[in-house]
Amino acid sequence: MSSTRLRTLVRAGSLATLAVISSGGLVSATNSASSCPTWPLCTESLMAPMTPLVWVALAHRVLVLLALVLVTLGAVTVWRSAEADRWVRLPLLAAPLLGLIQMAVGAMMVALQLYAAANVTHLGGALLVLACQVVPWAALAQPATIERLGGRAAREAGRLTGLAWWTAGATGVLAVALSAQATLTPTVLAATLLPANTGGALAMVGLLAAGTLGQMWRVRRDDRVLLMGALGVLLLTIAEVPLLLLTPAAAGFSVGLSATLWGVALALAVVTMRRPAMVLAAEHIQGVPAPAMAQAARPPSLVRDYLSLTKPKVIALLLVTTAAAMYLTEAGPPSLGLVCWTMVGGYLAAGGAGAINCAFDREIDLNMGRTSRRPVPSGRISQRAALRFGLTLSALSVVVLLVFTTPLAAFCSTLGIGYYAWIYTQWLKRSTWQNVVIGGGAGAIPPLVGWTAVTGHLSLAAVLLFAIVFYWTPPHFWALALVKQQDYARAGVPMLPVVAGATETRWQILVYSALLVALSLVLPLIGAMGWVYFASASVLGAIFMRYAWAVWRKGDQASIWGLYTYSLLYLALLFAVMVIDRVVVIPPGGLLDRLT
Amino acid sequence: MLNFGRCAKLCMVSYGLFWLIVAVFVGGQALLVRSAWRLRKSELSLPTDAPRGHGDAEVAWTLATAVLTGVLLYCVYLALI
Repeated sequence: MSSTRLRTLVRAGSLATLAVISSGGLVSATNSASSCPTWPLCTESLMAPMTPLVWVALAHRVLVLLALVLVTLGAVTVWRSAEADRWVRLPLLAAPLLGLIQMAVGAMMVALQLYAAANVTHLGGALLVLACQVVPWAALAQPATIERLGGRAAREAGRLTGLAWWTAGATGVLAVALSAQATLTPTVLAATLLPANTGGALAMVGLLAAGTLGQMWRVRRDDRVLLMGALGVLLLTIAEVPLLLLTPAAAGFSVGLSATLWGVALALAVVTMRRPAMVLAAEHIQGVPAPAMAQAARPPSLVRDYLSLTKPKVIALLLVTTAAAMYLTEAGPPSLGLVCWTMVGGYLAAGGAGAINCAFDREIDLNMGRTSRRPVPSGRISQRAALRFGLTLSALSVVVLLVFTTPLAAFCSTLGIGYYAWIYTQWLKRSTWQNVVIGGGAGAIPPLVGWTAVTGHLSLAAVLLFAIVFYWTPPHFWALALVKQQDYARAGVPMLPVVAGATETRWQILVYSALLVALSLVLPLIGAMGWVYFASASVLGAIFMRYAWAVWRKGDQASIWGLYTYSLLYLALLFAVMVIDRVVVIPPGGLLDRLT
Repeated sequence: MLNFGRCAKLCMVSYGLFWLIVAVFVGGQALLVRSAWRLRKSELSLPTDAPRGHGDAEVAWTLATAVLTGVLLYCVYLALI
């Protein structure tokens, strides 16, 4: 069998599966499945005069049969082909199995009349079948290439690929969330089944799609295929916005568009991953050769320098804790607008504090390899300009939080700025090896900002969130300090490894890790969290202790880096699990309530 | 109260867990205070140009952290009973 034939089959399979999903949405929205109570042939209804509803239900089943034939042919073809790589082979072989499961679920829905209960599962399975067709299609269209990229270019390419995959994943959640409106009773919305409501899921897809497009513009702007693909995903996402206005009963009409977005986002992720980064611009732009990745290696612009002063990578984790705290309050899920404004205010506050820190730390940064290329020590931005920039952002953050959230949130945020920029940077960092312990309080304030932005007051649970981040800080930053010990010694910063040595630091990392894990289990005791959180925090904590133990026992670079990277993941996952626990389990009508 | 359930046995689990956490904290903070005290002495032997902390202040910071965490756990206890 030629690859052309395989490509044709996969393309036809993709389109047929998309047609199946779209028609399934129609069936759901029109409730036509009940017009065909027998499966698969709908024989009773065929005896009577045909109504439009029967036509819709029958057409869906015919399309299912057609898609299954095409999917099976694709699987047989790839089975007999020795050349196909795993991105083509594995999905195509899995597709018929998934298709059969889908048919069984469909039959069960009709036979047992479990339309509402099984619809989300049915759509989820159908989206997987579509993925099993689209991924090989994209992989066949864009053969994999082997290329060696330099450190920075590889990092940028990896970030782009990661963003594209995250976007694809989020579009899948969005498709299910949008359709779930149609399948559940009005009192039980998608939010009780998914860790996201439709508005939240759409906002998340929008952010990720915009992020993918932005990153594409940064590093692959000469590659028009990718750029157009990323733009297409963003436009399709925007086209989904009006679908939020559909009534729950009519939400099935949205399924076709959501599935298309899912397919396009998946195809973009596969192509982004496999397309060579060093595509010559000459291929796309009138004969002007310009390696796309050169964009990533060019000297930083002034805008990028100012952006880097805000330490966006550090802020990302802070904003995760802020956003998560907003969903944990007793006030219930906040509005999307409130979340957005709190994020804007939070970014401005943390960015402002970071810029002030860069201004004050010029001398220290100069003596450290990790920081010597920052805009202030390298002289691209003056100390005074950085300070002015930081103060402006800080003032803006206060205004934003004061106007759009609550006075207490603005106060907490201002406290955080002062704590980090002055108490930590100017005093603690230079004078005590407890700098990251006590200074950790600055990084622990964002959950308080998120909490108070929703409720306007503090509570014990909010303080516990603060304490979790507070106790998380020493193991995380001491792991980094162990690796960069020489840098800190040269800069005259009394970090614990410099003052007390690596062994003492490793020991204290172990002790603080135990305290952190113990503290993370307190929230369920006061009823703020449930079983899901308790079980997840226990598992995540056990892994954390394993890494901390490895640092204590071995103390090699691998174990230290392992702890450092896992601690980042740990904090993000812990807060994510809190939200899942809160959204899925705790509220009346939550998943557990409905199961018991 | 922990959302484990409503029966007395599971409430006992909550209390047991709480006191276990308290024990971890008391033990952990004791070790940290001991470390700070030990480092206070050893810092005196560091070369004068080496980065160093202020021994008494380090002990004070450690004690302050322990006391504040103790207050937090006391508040948890009040919420629990």
